[in-house]
Amino acid sequence: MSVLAAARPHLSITRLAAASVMPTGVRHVHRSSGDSVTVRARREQRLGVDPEKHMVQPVLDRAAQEMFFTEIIRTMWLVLEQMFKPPYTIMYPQEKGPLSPRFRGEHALRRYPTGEERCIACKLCEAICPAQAITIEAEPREDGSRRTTRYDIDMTKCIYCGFCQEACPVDAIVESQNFEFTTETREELLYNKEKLLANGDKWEAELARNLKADYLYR
Amino acid sequence: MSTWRNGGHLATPLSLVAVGTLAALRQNGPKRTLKQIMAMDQPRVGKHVGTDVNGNEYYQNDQEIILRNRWVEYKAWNHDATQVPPEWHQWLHHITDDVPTAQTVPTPFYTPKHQQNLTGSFGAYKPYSTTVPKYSGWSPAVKQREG
Amino acid sequence: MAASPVAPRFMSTAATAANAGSQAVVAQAPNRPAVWSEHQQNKAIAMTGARFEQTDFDLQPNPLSAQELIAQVPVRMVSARRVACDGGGGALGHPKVYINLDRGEPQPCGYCGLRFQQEHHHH
Repeated sequence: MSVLAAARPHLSITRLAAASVMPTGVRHVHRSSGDSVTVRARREQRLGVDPEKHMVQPVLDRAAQEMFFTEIIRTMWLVLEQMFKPPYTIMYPQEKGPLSPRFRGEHALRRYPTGEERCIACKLCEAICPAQAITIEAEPREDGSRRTTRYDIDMTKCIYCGFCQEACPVDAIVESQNFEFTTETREELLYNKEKLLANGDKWEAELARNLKADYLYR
Repeated sequence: MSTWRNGGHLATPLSLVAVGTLAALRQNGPKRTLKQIMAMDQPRVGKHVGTDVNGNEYYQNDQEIILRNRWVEYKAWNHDATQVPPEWHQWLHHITDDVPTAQTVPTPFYTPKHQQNLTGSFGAYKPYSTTVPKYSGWSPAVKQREG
Repeated sequence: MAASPVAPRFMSTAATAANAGSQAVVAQAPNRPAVWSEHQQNKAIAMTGARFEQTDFDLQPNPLSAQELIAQVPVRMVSARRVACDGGGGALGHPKVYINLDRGEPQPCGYCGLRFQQEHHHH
């Protein structure tokens, strides 16, 4: 017939003309090889089923829905139910949200139970830190052991990824579960070794328990 | 009149405002009920599980919904979230179920006295360099001529 | 001229604790007043200047000196020529190292600082 009909048979003139005179409820699907018609449409054609039949509502039901706002009343009832349930807003700071022992918060430098610092200045954490937030300088201590003289973490650069915690071979640098260390000045967030060690001393009770719960999975 | 925990059937009279308030008033007293309303928006009744070194009291009520069943009532009038010491911090944040005692949460000997977040006060942490400077400025000095 | 009595603006080699002014500064650590490392800065010098004028030094972080604490741990006597140390707790400690004790003096573990010594039986 035309170039269009040859290239795209389902758009041929005859089919469009046929669609205009047929009632809209009936749909004829022109099958041809290579046509991407769905399985469902083919089945319905074969069985003579009207594909939109399930969406037709009885007219009285439809009228009642329009006049009496059925779906709106249903939703309003749902809202009314919520008024008599207890609210689930957590009242901070009296109640606090849930945390996991793996939560990554403020950094801390830990010690052994004898009191010796764990950090041996291997600088694995400094190397792995994606933000280069850790700065380390090391030298032999008076008694000959290898320790740091400088261990700074710039908490404003830190992205709290936990890589330093994973990299440390002796579990010296860890992230405690404390996230409430906000400061009013930016300089207070440049932690030096003294501050980190003091943090570790403070949070050691919690850190030891969390590590004990988690070390087999690390 | 149902809770999230027990699947929705009738329970916990605390959800009812009037009954809950009267029960709390009777148990806690009017001053404490007022404090609770100011802090937590509703009067609470709970089992006292412990007190920490700062005097904050910790309560638990498992009839409430899951994340509201543990709370702390601070002693200081200017209470702060960081006044909770580490052993109770674990319990309050639902990390653990163990109420901290000397057996469940041993504290090492080097643990200092717990301080709240001191930012903004004179006790705020001030950073400094822990190593000696690697270069020094030139102090102008006049050397005597020789010869 | 020589260093003035006022604390210098820049860190000059002449800066000492004497120049630091009359502020009360805490000791280096509660259990040790002096530094324990060659290039460690003394707190009395580091925490001086205008920045520290309104600082409460009692509330600054002041952790215990680890060197003093580990020096107080008694030497462990073992009967073998070498000993393995992993800091206690297996995976919770440090990597296991073997220490040779032939020298006869207390040898510290490189990681945790625990000292071991071989018991000498007099033949």
